[in-house]
Amino acid sequence: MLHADIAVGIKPGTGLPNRPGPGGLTLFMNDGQQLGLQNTISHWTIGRRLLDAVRPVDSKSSLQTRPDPVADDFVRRWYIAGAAYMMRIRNIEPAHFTRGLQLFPDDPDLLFFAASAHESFAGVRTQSVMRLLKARRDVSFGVKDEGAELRQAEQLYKRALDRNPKFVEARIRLGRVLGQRGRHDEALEQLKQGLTIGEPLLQYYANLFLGGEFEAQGNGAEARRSYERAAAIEPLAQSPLFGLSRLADQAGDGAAAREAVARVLKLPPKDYERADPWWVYEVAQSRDVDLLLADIRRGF
Amino acid sequence: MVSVTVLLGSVVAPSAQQATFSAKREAVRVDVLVTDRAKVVTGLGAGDFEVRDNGVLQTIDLVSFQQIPLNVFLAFDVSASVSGERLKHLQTAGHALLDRLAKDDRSALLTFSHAVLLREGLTGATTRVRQALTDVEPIGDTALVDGTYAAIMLGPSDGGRNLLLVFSDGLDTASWLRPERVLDSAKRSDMVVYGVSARGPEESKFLEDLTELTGGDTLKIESTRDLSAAFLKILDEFRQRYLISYSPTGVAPDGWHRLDVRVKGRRVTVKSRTGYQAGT
Repeated sequence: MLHADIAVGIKPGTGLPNRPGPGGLTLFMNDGQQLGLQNTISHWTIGRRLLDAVRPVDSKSSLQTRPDPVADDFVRRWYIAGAAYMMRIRNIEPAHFTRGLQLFPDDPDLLFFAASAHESFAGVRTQSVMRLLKARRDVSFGVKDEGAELRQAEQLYKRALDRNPKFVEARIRLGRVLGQRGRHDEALEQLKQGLTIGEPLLQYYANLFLGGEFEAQGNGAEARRSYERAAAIEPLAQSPLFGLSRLADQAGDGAAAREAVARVLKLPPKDYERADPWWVYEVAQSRDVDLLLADIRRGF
Repeated sequence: MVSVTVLLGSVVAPSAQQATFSAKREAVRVDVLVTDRAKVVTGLGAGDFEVRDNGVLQTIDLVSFQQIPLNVFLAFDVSASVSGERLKHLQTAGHALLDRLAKDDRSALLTFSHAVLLREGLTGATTRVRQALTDVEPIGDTALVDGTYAAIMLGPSDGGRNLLLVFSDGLDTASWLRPERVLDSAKRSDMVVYGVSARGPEESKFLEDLTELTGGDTLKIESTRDLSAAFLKILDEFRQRYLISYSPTGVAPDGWHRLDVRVKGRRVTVKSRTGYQAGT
């Protein structure tokens, strides 16, 4: 789902801020197709308005103090948890990311989630809907074309890495984005650094993407090694097996190509019996969302 | 359709620089549809065709028509968008096609959502494929490219005529493989791919490129109500294709071979694959 704010027309000179109300349009999508468009009230918008009014808690006369949400770490964590939650349930309000980065432009986590939102917008699921969007002309969901979204994702991942060079997950995702942009040398450089991480899920992504990048460069041997490592980490995943099959076919080894596909077709049939993290790549960055939300709830 | 599977013999030839070398000479099979103002032209023989392999005129060994049993591979999109009425239409269409298969024909069913599943391997027992199709439950995203690749790899090279029928109602949202790489693999396969797309204004370029490459066709339907007619049209058309066989001469053994098939002295439309990839 994607949300668009509806700007409420207010006469100039009234002294009231010309900002969108909490009402908005929600675009429902599934499998790259538009399902519907609905007027909704965004509780996130209400939350952002409230947090914009946060004043320092130690102020003796707080009502006379200027609001300073940036000084309150709860606000920062709220934006991060909200971003992770939106990505997790694929119900995204671009305004949340925009406002979050206005307040905390140097926060690596917020930069990371904003980058992953743009990476997601660049994907075919969103792009195909945007190309065929059936909506009023004056409604914008803030999604640009694939190239522009990938550029934005690259810039934001790099900003996250500038602030935290040890942010390996951002490095792996930056590597994928660079590969999507056809900059395979730079992608390989980032992805190789991603191999240092201990978490199997991220190792899997790094190896899978390395397989694709080496393949794009015509380095079949390294591509095969990368796909084999990915397949060893996730034996029930189909993607590295398809990668191995394609490499074998390209090398003229039809028997090996068919054998790798046969391994795919022998995987358990039910989703809960087989797992390919590639299927959930767009939401995998939010896997710790429950911890983030629990942290927020502790404040109440 | 092209197959590079039948080994006719090996050639041992002297060379000025080397003592000897051997090269496999393989039969190439080209599946050809001939139409005249949309009507299928029948009754043609080897003497009626001209085949050029990379521009070099070839000697045709054999032309078959309606004599070789079919291997029909069904690769169906069963992502979440193919639910309710769409699924019923797909099942009805699939059953109609299976009912029309001949005694010696074989069929298989592969489905793809985000996961690629072989529901029933190539078999002469049509009832098993029917049942497998009845049992499918739509779920998830669409891995059209991955699913099509797996189906291409299923094709046996034992001399049957391989038809791959791909149905999808959406764009690819979940594949790992890139379309251009799968198109490259299709150049080595002897599958003729037909696609049926129920997408609407934005079509799958991948499916169109693949069907053109392999000498098939993409049928775009407005509604899944039209699926049965589309499937039967494809099967009927495929049955009425000629299978031309020749042993390539005067061309390099490896690489991309551009094919040009014509019917001598007649203004007819000839549809065949655009070429084939030999070697690596």
